[in-house]
Amino acid sequence: MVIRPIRLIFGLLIIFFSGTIAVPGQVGRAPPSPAAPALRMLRLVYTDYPPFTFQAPDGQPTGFSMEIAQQVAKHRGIALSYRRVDSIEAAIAAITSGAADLHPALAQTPDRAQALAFTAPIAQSFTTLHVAVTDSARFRNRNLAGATIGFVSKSATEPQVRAIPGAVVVEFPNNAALVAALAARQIDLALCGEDVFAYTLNQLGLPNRYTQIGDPLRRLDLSIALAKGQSPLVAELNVAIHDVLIQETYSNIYKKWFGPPPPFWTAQRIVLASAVFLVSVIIVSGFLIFRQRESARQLVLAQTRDNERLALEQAEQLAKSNAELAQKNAELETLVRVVSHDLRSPMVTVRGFAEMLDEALTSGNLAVATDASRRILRSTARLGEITDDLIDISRIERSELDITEVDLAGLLESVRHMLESQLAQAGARLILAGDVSSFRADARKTMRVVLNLVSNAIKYGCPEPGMTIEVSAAQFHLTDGRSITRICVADHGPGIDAAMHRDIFGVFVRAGPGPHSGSGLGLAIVEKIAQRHGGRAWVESSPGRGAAFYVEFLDTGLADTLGDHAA
Amino acid sequence: MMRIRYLLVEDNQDHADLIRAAFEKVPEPTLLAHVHDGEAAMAILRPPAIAHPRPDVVLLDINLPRMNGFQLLRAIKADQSLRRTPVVMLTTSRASRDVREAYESGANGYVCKPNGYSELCRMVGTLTDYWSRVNVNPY
Repeated sequence: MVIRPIRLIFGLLIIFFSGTIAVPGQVGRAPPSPAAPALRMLRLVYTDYPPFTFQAPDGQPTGFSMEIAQQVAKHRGIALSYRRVDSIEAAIAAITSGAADLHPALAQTPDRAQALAFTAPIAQSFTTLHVAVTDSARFRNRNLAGATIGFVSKSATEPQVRAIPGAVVVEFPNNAALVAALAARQIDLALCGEDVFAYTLNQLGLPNRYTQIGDPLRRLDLSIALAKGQSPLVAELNVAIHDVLIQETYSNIYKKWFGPPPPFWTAQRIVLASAVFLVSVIIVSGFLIFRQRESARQLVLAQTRDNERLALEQAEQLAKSNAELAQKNAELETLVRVVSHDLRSPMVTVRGFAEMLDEALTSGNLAVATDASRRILRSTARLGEITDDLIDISRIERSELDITEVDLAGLLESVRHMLESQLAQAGARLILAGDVSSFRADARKTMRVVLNLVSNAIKYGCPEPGMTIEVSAAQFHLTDGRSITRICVADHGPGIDAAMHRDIFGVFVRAGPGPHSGSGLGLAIVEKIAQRHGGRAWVESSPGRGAAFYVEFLDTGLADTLGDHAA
Repeated sequence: MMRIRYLLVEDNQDHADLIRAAFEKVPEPTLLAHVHDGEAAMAILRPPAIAHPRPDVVLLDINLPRMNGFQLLRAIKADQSLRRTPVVMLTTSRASRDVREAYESGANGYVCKPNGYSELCRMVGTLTDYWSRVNVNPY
C-alpha cells in the first residue's frame, strides 16, 4: 500500500504545528499553540475487520470505512492519529474511557448505543446466508435443520444465527477463516455481510460459485462511533459524511473495495478445467451406471419424504398468511381509531360554527357570521384533504409500481411549479444539489415523495424569508448489481427534537402546533412509498440545526427482498 | 361570587375559540386561560402559587404536540403541589381505551367534545355549576 501524499502532508503539518512527533497510539490532543491556529486532531481506534478497517502489510491503517473516515476528517480539517486494538470490546473501552475519540466503522446496535454516539451510517452491510450454488437446492425451502452454519464470533448477527432451529453453529475468528471453511466444505452455510463475502472470496482468489439463501438476516449500519455526549462533533461529522456521500469520492472508494473482481477465466485455467472436466466425465459415467440400480429403490423413499415435506410446507404457508392477516387487522384497527378521531375534530368545528353562523345571521351580526363561515370552509377543505390522502395511502399499497427513469431536475421543476405560491409566501428557495441526475423508480410516486417533503420543509423549515431547501440524490451500489438511490430534502429551520424522529412518520402526527394545515398523512405517505420501493424513510435533525429527510429506493422490482430494516 | 378559573390546554385554535364563546354564554362568571401545549400549561401551573392564582380546573385535550394530554395529566397528578387541581379531559376521542387510560392516570372527569355549539354551552354550564360547588380552592 502506498502512503497517501495527503496523509504525509498532514503528518508534517502536525509535527510543524505541535512541535511534537506524532506517534500512533500515543498522540493526545495537539496543545493549543498561541502562534498558530489550532489544528484539530482526533484519535482514531480501530480493529482488524477487513475490508472495512484493518492494518495493511506496510503497517498503515486502511479499509473502506477507514478511507471514508479519512475523507470525512479531511473535509472538516481534522487530523487523525491511529491506534489498532485486538477486539471490538477494547475499541469501545478506549472510546468510553476517553483514551480514543472515534472508531470509523462500528455497527449500530441498541447495546452499543447506550455507551456510544453514532454518526449517520457510512456503510451498510446486509448479513446473509451464503451457500455453494451446488448445495442451494437443499435449502431452497429455508429448512436449515441439520445444516452446519458458520459465522464470525461476537459479530452482531450472533443472536439470529443461534435462533435458527436445528442448525449446528460453528464460530470462526474472522471472515477469511469462515469463507475458507465454506470453500473447503467444512460447513454448509456461511453467515456474513454480502459485501464482505464477495471481498473475502476475491482476496482468497476463490471463484464466486456461491449464492444466497433467503432474505438478509440483518442490515447493519456501520457508522463512526464516538463517546456519548459528543453531539456537536457528531453533528459536524454528519455534515461532512453527507457531503462525502454525495460526492464522487464515495463511489470511487466503494468501487475500489467492492468493485467487480478481475476476469476469472484465464487461458491456463481453461486448459486445466477442460482436463478436470474430461476426468470427471469418465468418473461420473461410471458412477451413474452404479447409481441407476440404486435409484429405483431411492425413488420410492424420496416420494414419501416429498409428500411429508409438502404437507409441512403448506402448514407453514398457512401459518404465515394467518400472521400476515392478523398484522393487517391490527394496522387497520389503529388506522380506523386515528382516522375517526382526526375526522371528528374538523366535524366539531363545522357543527359548532354552523350553529354560531345561524345565531349570528338571526341577530344580524355579519362580522361573526363571516368569521364562522370562513372557519367552516377551512374545516371542510381539511376534511376533503384527509379523505384524499387516505385514498392515496390505500392506493399505494395496492397499485403496481411503474418503474421508469426519473429525471431529478425535471421532477424538481414540476415541484417548484406546484408549490410556487407557498415558496413565494415563505420567501424560500429550492436548490438542486448533488450529482445524481436520474435514477429508476416510479415517477409519479417519487414526485409525491418530493412534493410532500418540500411542502413540509416550507411549512416547518423556513420560518423566515431567504432560507433555502436543498434537494439532492445519492446512489450506492450493492455487489449483486442492485443499487439504492437516496433522496435527501434538507432545510435550515428550527429542526426536530430527537424524541419525535420516529413518531412524525405516523398518521396524524404533526411536528408542531400552530397555523400549519395539511392532513397529517404526508410523511406516512412518504414512508409507504419508500417501503413499496423496498426502501425506507427517516429524518436526521437536532433542534436548531435544520432537518434532513432521507428516502431510499431500491432499484429493482425486488421490493420484498429487504425484509427487516430494524437493524 | 368567586370566579372559577379554567385553564384550557388545546392545540386546535378553532376548538379553543368555540369553547371560549361557549364560556361567555354561561351566567356564572368564569375566567378562561388558553395555552396550546403541555409545556406552556406546566409553565402556568408550576410557578409559586402565591405569586399568581392557579387555575381551579384544567381542561385538557388528548392530542397535543410533543407532550400529549395523558403525559401532562400524569405530570400534574405526580406533582405534590398540583395533584389536587381537578383535571377534566375534553377531547374528540370516544374510544373506551382513552377513557380508561384517562381515569387510570388520575383524571377527575372525561368529556367528549359535543357535536354542536348549543350542546357545548350547556356542557360548560354544567361543568361550571358542578365545580363551583365541589371545588375547594386550597390557596
